[in-house]
Parts: sequence; structure tokens; C-alpha cells
Amino acid sequence: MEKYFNPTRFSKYFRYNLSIHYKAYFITCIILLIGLVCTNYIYLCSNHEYKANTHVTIYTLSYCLSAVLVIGTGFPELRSKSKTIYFITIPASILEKYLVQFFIRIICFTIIYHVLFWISLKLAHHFYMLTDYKKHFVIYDYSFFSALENGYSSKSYSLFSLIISICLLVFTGSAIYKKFALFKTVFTIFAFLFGIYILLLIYSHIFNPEVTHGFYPELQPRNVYQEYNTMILLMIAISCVTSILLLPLAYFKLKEKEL
Amino acid sequence: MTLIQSAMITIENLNFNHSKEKQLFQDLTLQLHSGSIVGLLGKNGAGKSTLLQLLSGLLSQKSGSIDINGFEPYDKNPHFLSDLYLVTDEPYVPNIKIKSFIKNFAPLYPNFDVDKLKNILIEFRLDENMKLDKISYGQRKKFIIGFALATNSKLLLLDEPTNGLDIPSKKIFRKVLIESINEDQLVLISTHQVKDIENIIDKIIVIDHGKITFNHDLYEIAEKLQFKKVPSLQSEEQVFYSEKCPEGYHIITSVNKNEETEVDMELLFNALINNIAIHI
Repeated sequence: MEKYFNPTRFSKYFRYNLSIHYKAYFITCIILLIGLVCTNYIYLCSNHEYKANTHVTIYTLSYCLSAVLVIGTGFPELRSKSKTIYFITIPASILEKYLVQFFIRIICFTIIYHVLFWISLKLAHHFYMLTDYKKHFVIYDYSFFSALENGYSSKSYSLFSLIISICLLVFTGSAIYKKFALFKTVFTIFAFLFGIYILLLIYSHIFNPEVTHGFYPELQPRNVYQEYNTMILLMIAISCVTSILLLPLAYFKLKEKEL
Repeated sequence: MTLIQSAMITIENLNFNHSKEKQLFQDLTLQLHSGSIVGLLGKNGAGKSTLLQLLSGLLSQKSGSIDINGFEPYDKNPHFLSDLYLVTDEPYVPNIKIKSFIKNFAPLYPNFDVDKLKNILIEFRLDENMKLDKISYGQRKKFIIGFALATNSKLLLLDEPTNGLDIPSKKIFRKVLIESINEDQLVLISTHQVKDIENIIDKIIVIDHGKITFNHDLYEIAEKLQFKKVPSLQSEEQVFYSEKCPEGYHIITSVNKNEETEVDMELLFNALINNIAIHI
């Protein structure tokens, strides 16, 4: 077991990773904060209102976009030959190298994003009050935990599972691809989605030939349990299966990494 | 150097080829022991760097086995990696100060000797406050060589270590290498600049087209061969190889009357890559 994971070695490697990348992480946080402040400010200026659930759309969309950029640029040492040599020969196990990236790029990023979004909304509100005070309105009191407090529906669960699987897809892509990892990963995601569309189209033509025309799959979702219909369950199933497969895939691809 | 004969590297029937290329190594077998500095010589493209990459787990062999102190390199076991340091021709260094690199990277090597590194940095005239991305290629190389030596790793793989080093630095490199290595360690230096590692190596391995064409200790070579400069070839009895020079010829001949000469590695290397059969 010690050859796979040792807490002391992991903490040393984690500290080392932070010491060499702290500038990049800091700059990313600053850029993300500026981006979020601008997005929220523009939204306030154009809508002059901020209701209880308004943040959900901005929160989710900006998270997805920034997650693709932050997680998709994981394993930066794998992008060139000299860095790959250096990365592979660092005396830490593959699992530790994998976990450091997973922890920084997914877990830390998600927590930091949540904090930055909360700060950005408060800042955007203050800027709005300073610049456009005549159209003053009372902003919905967005507390630190607001994003986590909403009652979730089946649709939001399927959305969560989709976001998780996108994060894991870009994480796996960053471990697999050498050059242009982000571009190749995004291309792979689209190819994967296109594959699902083709599959649904074929099934639609086979099982519903009367109502299917051309390239439009005719889906007839059925309610399975409460508000969960077959479409939502399909989305959750695809997301769960890809997530379960992608985590070990990224690990083993990293383990078998060669020059 | 004192030779302690314990097998550190055992390669048996190694087969390897880069994808879409013809076989590079075919049934390569080699055994190396700790307590020596080995010169791995060969022309460009002979397979020297590939062999070092196989030894450090960066590539996996198609068949055969590599054993280094009981570890299979491709497993990338952290205990194996903490006892190995590979200095590549173009080493990557992060954009941080030397002292920050030492502070954060050295703890990953359990036998790291900070004082040894500080002495080497003084020898190489490198300051701990220098930023690694701002210094020249040669300075970066010197720092990485110093860091590698300070790890006290049992296996040091140096790929073209003298590339980019100026003449005084090459001299210092030889000095610090000799001073830093102990008898538990094995240093494998891959180079095509044979003059740079003359006088520091204990063993010569010549690799050509993926095959080991010569593998002998320096003392064996000195016992069996003579390297001298002669005005003409006519007076010499058994000349294995000769090269014309302004004063006559540089020759390799068999030892005469137990008179040992200093091994001219460049001449020997030239003879070997010209397929001259030299039997020791």
C-alpha cells in the first residue's frame, strides 16, 4: 500500500506542486474573480433586478465554463517532452500525482469558485450602487450558502450529474492528451455527444419509424418514478457510467504514460 | 574508485522499438554494478538516450526484463524513483528561485544532502537567489547536475551532461562528480563527447545501432592496448587502428613489454564506430 500512497510523501508533493504553480493558481483566481464581477455587474445593469434564483443560471454556466478551462489544463507537465520526463521521474506515486491534480483542479477549484462567486456578487452589487444608484433596487440577499440551499428537482440532479461528468471528462482528457489537450478534450466531448445523438436517432428510426423524420430523433419519454422520466434517467445513467469509468481511466492512462 | 561488485542493473534479452520504427534493441543483455562511473558512448541515434529512458521508467520494453535494485523501472515505484535521478540534455526547471526549488523539491529525496549542493553551487558559481527560468542553459544544466549529485541517489543517469557547459565548467563537473560519488552509487553517463568524460570513467560501453559493441573496464583496456603517437606506421607491428595527425599517426596497438599508456577514449571510440575489431 505504501508504494501507492504515503501521507507524508503526498503532503511533500502537494507542497512542491503549490510552490511551483502558486503564481498560476493565484492569477487564475484573480482572472476568475474579475470575470465573475463583470458578468454579475453586466447582468445587474441590464436587468435591474436580482431574484432569489437568478444566480443559479450565472453560477452554473460560469462554473461549467471555468471548470472546463481550469480542469482541462490539469497535468500541465504532460504538455511537453522535457516536462513529462520531469513529471514521471518525480519520486511520488502515480496515485499521489493523480490525487494532487484531482484535489487542486476539482475539489479546491469548486470550493474557491463558490467563494469567488459570492465575493463577485457582493462586489458587483456595490459597483452597481456606486455607478447606477438612481436605479437602486434591493438585491436578493445572496448569502454564502445560497447556492446550496435551494430545493433540488430531478432536473437539477440530472444537471449536476452532467456537470460532474463534464468535469471528469476534461480531467481525463488532460491526463490522456499531450498537446492541445483542452481542444482535443472539447472535441472528444462533442464527438461523444454526437455519438449519443446518432444512437438515439437510429433507435428512433427503428422503434418509432412512423413519427421519426430525417435527422430529428423522436423521443417519447415515459414517467418512471415521480418526476423522473426516461430521458432524465438516461442522462443520469450516462453521466454516472462515464464518471465511474473516467476516474480509473485517467489513473491508468497516467500510469502507462510514456514519452 | 573502489569497486564493490553488487549488480545494480540487470537487463536481459531486452527488445524495444519506437512505434513504426524498426527494432532498436534486440536481445540486449547487460549487467552493471554499483561503485562505478560508466561511459555510455555512441553516435547520434545509436540508442543511448532511449536506454536511459528505459532505465528510468519513461518507456516500456516490448519484451525482456530490466531490474534495478529489485525494481522494474516501468512500475514507477516511488521508492525506486527516489533513488534515481535522470539529468536529460534539456532539463525542465520550474519558474522559481534556486532556493525555493531546493526547499520544496529536495524533501522528496530521502538522502538529499543540502550542504553538498551548496558546495557544488559555490563551485559552479551559482547563487541560490537566481531564478531558474532567467539563467542560461549552461547554468541550468550545472544546477540540475548539482541537484542530481546532492540527491545521493543510487543510480544517476546523465544524458549528455557536458552539452552547454563551458570549458572551465566541464572541468568543475568532472571534479564535483568524482568528489560526490560513493561506492553505493552507479553513474551512467551517456555522451558522444568522449573527451569530456576522459579520466573519470571506470568502464566504457559503446552502443551502435541498438547493440552493445564494446563493454570493458578501463583498467582492462589499459592492460591490453596501447595508445600512442608515432611518426610512421611502418615500424609498428600490430596496429589495430590509426588516425593521421600533424606529427604522424595516433595509433592503437597491443601492449608491448607491459608498457601501459593512458587510454585515448576518442581514438578508441573512433576505432569502434568504424567497425574495427578490437579484442580484449
